[in-house]
Order: sequence, then structure tokens, then C-alpha cells
Amino acid sequence: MRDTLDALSNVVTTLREQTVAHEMAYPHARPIQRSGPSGYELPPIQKAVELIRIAKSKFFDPYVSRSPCNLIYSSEDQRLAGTGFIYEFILRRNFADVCLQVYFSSFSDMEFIIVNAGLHSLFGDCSHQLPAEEKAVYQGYARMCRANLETTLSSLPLHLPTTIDSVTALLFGVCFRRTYSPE
Amino acid sequence: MLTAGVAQAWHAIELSKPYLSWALSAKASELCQTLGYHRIPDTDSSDDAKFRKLLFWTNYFLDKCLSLRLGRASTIPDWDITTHRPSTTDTHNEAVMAYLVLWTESARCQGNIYELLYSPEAISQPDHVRQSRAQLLVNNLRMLEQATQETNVG
Repeated sequence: MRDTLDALSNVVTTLREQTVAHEMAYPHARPIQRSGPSGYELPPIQKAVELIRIAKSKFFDPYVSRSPCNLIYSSEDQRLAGTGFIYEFILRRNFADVCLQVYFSSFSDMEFIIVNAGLHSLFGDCSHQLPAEEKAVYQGYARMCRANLETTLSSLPLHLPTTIDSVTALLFGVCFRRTYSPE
Repeated sequence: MLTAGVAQAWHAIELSKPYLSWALSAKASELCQTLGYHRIPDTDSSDDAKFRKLLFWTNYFLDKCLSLRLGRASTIPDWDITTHRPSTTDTHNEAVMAYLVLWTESARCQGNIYELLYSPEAISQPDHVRQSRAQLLVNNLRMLEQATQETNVG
């Protein structure tokens, strides 16, 4: 009985999703070519990979300020809400794969936003732990990501793809301000 | 009144650009509801469902904080949510999930403060109604404070 109900519920959900997708298209609109992000720079891939690796290493716990690898999470609790959420994605979802796509292949606006929000947090938070010279370099990378992120956010269309990536990207757009913010 | 974590998360909304945040959060909320994230059944405990719930409750947190901050009606009414509210009795390995309980509770309080004390409907209520509502909200905040202390210890 339970199984049957679940199966029916899945059918209804699928049908509803199709209806939404169908309804969200304008039948008489001329096709338009939306160009993705262009003329942007990204931090060196080696640095990005290194930071993701450190963030994912087993010693790392972004929520404990006295953890052995205190690279990313510093003691300010105010970052917890935003940071916790962005790091949750970096640590437990396929952040590295999305990065590879953005660096080397084709990608959506949403993926571009997700990657830049994540790298902005990684480079920005990491910069606090570094000596002055390197710190400036890392802050520069964080600013680079912030410019990419804000440029893309500012040109999003009214109708976004109804996907988990869109929701993630929009919420990153709100949360990234509450992580590291270089002036 | 509240201990550091929640109070500062609360304060953080003040620092960011609230209208810009509202535009993004409201759009996310529309998509979340189209995708049915507010109705995710308990039976679905996959990693994917966990992440969708995290997205939804983060969205809820932002929506309620901004509602009070900007004086706008929340786009995610509590009576429309059927997905399981994060609770201290949940088993979770990640600290972020323990704090999620506090964020959603603090968010619910903020949403209620706007709805029961500051919305146009609330302002037109006689004094004794507003007083009893204020008392109710203070009690909610006390419970939240206690939960925050327990979480920080645990």
C-alpha cells in the first residue's frame, strides 16, 4: 500500500515538474542567444585545487576554531551561518567537479556563481592565516572571484532554470557577503 | 540575550545589503517551492534530500531575518511547510546540522516578531493584545536561548 502510494506520488511529482517546465516557456518568443560570462579571470587552478584539498582533509573542521588545521575557519562566530552553508557544499557536494567544468569546459551561469562563491570564501578565509605578502595575493584572488560573482548575479534573467543549482547559486549570492569581504 | 552564534548570525543580516539579499532570497524561495523543497517527505533520507533540506532551511532563515529587517511579509509561511523541521532529537554527524536547528528556531522567532508585533495587522491591535503577544515572543526567545546554550555545550 505504502509503496503504491509512493509510486503514485512520484508520478504526480514528475507530471507536475513537466507542466512547470512547459509552462515556463513562451511559445511565441524568438530564440535568443544568451552569452555566458566572458572577459573574466579565475585564480590559478593549482591554488584552487590545493585549497579544496586542504578544506577536505580529515583534520579540517570548519566549525571548530581550535582544530589542528585552523586554515579556514577563524574564531568569528558571525561567519557561521553563511560560511557553514558554503563550506557544507564545498566539503560534501561535488564542488571540485563543478570547478573543473568552469576552468576547462562549458558551464552554466549557476555553476559559475557556485564556483566563484566557493573560491571567494576559500581564498578570503585562508588569507587571514598567511604572511603579509601572500595574504595580499590571496585577497586579490578573492576579489577576482567576487567581481565574477557579482557581475553574473547582476545579469541574471527573470526566468531561471528550475534546478537545485539555481537555488544553491542564489543562496550563495546572499551568503557570500557574510564570509570574508575584502574592501 | 542570546549567546554569540545565533545573535551574531542575526546581526549579520544588518551588515549586508538587505534589499539585494531579499531579491535573491525571494527568487530562491519561489524556486524552492516550485521544486517542492518545503514538502520533502521524511521517508527520503538520501544525501541529496539532506542537501535539499539544508537549502530550504537556509532559505527559510534568510527569508525570515530579512522579513523583520525590511518589514515585509515572509515568502515562506510556516503553515505551508510540511517538511520535517530540524530538531535537536535528529541524529546528525555534522556540526552545521546542530546549528541549523538554532538558525531555524531563531528565524521562526524573527518571522513571528514581524507578524505578531510589527505588521500592519499587529500594529492595529489593542494594547492588551500586543502585550500578550510580546510576552509570548519573549517566552519563545527564552526557549531559544536555552537551546543555544545546550547546543554550545553539546
